[in-house]
Amino acid sequence: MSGTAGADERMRRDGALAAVYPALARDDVVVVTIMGTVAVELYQLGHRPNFFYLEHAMGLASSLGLGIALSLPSNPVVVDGDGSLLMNLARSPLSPATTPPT
Amino acid sequence: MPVSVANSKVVYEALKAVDVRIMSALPETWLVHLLHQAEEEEGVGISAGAHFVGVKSAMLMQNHGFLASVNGIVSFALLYKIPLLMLVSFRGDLGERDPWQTQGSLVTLPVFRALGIPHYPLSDPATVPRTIRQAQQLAESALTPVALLLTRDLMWEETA
Repeated sequence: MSGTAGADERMRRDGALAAVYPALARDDVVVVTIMGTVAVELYQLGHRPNFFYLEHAMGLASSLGLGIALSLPSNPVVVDGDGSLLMNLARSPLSPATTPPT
Repeated sequence: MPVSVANSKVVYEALKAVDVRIMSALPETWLVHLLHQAEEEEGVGISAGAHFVGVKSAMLMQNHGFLASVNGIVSFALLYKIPLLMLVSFRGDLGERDPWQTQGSLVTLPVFRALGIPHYPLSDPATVPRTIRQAQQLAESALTPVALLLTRDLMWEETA
């Protein structure tokens, strides 16, 4: 990134993904992403067998993660997209209400 | 309460008997004794997640909830071949008193047919455990959603 001040210095999505990648690249973590750019960028950082990229079903990556959380002793990590988030705003109050195991 | 407590319990026990461990549900009048989800489409993702890690689940909703969740059913359950067991309260059919429920009932079965989803009525409490078991079996062997329609005969006790 350039040294110019302002918006250019904010962390971008690819930078954020690279920052959290070491925490995701572990055999004991299930990672779910929604389709699109976020899936492509995580894939390009290095695909691993614990990564699942949900194609087509926009809005449901977080629901998929909730189903996994309710079924496994450990919680998955969901990497959602802004559009997908907007398509399933009802997820927000639901997830804490179901108190998946931590 | 005219909603049948006894038959709600029959459905509940039948789901427990086939090892359903996660239910997603959006409450409505007929389902008050059965359960508590923010939005129906959510249940498709929850059931898929459970299925991916080997846990049996079911969705419980009204027929309007099914209509609201069609995109999730197509884009996730059908695309990824998820054995989605759906229990759908069939409002607006024979004997319905609420005018607003009747439009949905007219399109429920045609939409199931259009999606190619097997669907069967649940009317007799005596057959509920067997039919739920068979529906779960079909969903898992065919890797498809299967719907059971909770009819008025099953869920409602008419008062004199």
